[in-house]
Amino acid sequence: MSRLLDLPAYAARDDGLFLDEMNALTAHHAQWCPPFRIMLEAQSRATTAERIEDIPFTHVSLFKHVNLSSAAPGARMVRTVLSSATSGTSSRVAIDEISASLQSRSSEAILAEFIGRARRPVLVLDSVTSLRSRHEFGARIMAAMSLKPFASEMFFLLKDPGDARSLQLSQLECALKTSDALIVYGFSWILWLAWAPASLPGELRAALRQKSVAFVHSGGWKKLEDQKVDRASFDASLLASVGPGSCVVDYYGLVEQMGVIFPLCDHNARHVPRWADVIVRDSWTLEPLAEGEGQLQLLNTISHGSPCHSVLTEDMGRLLPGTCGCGRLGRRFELIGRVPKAELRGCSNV
Amino acid sequence: MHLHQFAGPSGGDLVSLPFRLDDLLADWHSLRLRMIRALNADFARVEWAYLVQFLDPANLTSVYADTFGPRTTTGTPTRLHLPRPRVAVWLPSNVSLLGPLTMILLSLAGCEVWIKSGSRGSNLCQSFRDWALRELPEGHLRAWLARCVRIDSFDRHDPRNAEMAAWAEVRILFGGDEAAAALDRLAHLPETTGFYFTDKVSEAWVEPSRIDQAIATDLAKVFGVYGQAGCTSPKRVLLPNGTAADATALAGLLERAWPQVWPQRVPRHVASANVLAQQWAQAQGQTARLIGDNAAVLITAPASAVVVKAHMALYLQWGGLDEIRQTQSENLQTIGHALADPADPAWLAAFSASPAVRFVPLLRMHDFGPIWDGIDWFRGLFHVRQIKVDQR
Repeated sequence: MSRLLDLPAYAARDDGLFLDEMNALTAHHAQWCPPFRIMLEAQSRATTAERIEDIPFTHVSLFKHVNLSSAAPGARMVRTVLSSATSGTSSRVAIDEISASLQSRSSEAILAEFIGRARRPVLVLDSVTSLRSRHEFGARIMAAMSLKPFASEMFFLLKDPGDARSLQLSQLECALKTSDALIVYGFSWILWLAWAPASLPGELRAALRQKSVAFVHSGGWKKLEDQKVDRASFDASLLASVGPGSCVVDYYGLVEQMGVIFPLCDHNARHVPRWADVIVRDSWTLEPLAEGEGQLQLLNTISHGSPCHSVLTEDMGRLLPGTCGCGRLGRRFELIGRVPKAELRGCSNV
Repeated sequence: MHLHQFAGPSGGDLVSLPFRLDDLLADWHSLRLRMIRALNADFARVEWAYLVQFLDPANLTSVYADTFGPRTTTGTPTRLHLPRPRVAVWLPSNVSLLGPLTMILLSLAGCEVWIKSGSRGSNLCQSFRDWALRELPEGHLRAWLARCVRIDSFDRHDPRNAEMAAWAEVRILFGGDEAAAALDRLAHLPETTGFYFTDKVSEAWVEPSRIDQAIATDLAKVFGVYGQAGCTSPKRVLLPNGTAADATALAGLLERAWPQVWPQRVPRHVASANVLAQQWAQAQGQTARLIGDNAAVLITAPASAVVVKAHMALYLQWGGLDEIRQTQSENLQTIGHALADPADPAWLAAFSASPAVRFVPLLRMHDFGPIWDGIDWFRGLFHVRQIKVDQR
């Protein structure tokens, strides 16, 4: 349903086709998502944009407050994904069957550029209990499940999903027996808490040193910054425990952009696949910025279940000029972090 | 001790203070003159300006006049007021000027004061006291700030809360209902007093015939200081018996006024939250516009509309007085008015039917004073003794 996915993620862009597909998606959501339609009408926004920067966006936190489901006739909603509720309320993103398929293709194509296509055991730093809900899933387990196309088998290493230190060594032991190459996935801070200090028995430690491990992590650095852990020591600590050919892949993604992820390349850039785009906007004027820091607007052609095709995030970034030393084509950006929160004083604690 | 006589309602009130009131007021005046020339960097410019305005000699003099009547040297005193010796004040986190304002009023009674500021955020009370101590020459005020004011920062679990409650003759708390209940449960001496100022909201009433650029500028001033974070900020602006067109007209004037009143940009996260609030309101079918480089969002809707919440979102709503009453918050504190005749019995009846305890002009909404939340707390800082000077 998106022709842009027919070529590799970082092949040359086709912005004309991208705009056409985005306009079609805007029209789709305007037709089948009433709050989105009312919002566009209030803004006097046309569903057909002349330029990519004119494509209307939905603020990322609107998914916390308004049911934004685009229930077209015949569309089958397969799941709702919930963001982690750092501010007390979760975003709820409806995923339909078509989007689920496209998102799976998208994340597979992107990750394959960083960890290769070979199937191998995937060790997930989460609990299998996180999968027990039939329709609602958390962001963490959905991120883990996006690695399924690379998995010969999946192992869930945590006994308790809420306890990063509840590592089940028996699961790790089983996984180590099945292959010389592994993928380990976890939220960045869980990976750090669960893996880095793990006091593994000698035979497991020795076995790991013979394995080529791709550590894949996401979820942001906030909690790691709080623990004064920087990227270099994070990577070094993980790689010290495993064998040659191992790597660490940190990717940026959000529930409101399921399937589109932005791994950090060796040249510290996050590349945008050809079925997605990024615009940096001035927070005060909302004008697009070619240079300098601003709020990231993320766009993609694979979101049919809810108007996640164009989302203004509360993450800060800046576009990177020129071409990347890693050889990937297309736009790329630097992720700076969350929009900083300043103290708001009032006359009471209202 | 120094006796000061006021023409109180019973014919004469004597107030005994550990200083001459005029000397103390002169000290505040001298500090105020220094404040006009310098800004304490911990304060926002608008906060500092309000503090300067609050320290206007006429305002400080009015505290006693409002409580005990005008100063007099004649008449027969019937009551003697003696300040209670120890006052404890609990301030919430992220509080703006309440700490310094309360401290200033407490200085007028000369009590010994123990202030607990919030454990988070900046402590403006401490900052103001330190600044004043650096700037003031030796005198009554400097001595009071140095010797009689203790300011500590700790959380609600700290054992010093209980110590403060047991120590004080007057307990003053600004905070939530839960904090007030918790404080009241702490052991305290009998015959001591507690003033608990809990969470409140306010609203503004603008008569459609009064809508003009000046009123819009006043509204921008009172709302922009704290947004929705202030208990005296208008949570919503009501246009009694108005229409959607009136609300739209007022929104246009506010949009024009905003950059003049608030030329500086809001923090980035506030701008982003306003974009969210605009979309949230629009998705509910309400009309919303961003103003002043996303500094605020104005939402027009009937008085009964379901509202979206954002720090700098201001609703402009129309409806009949009955509808306004039905949609008022039960913890309404202040109604700021811009009415052709605020003394009109119809408005006063509407005010009396509301839960509000203050009915003041728009620009007076944030004015803190000796009566707050309907409580005559400054008077409560004093013990009263009866005087009969007749011979039989």
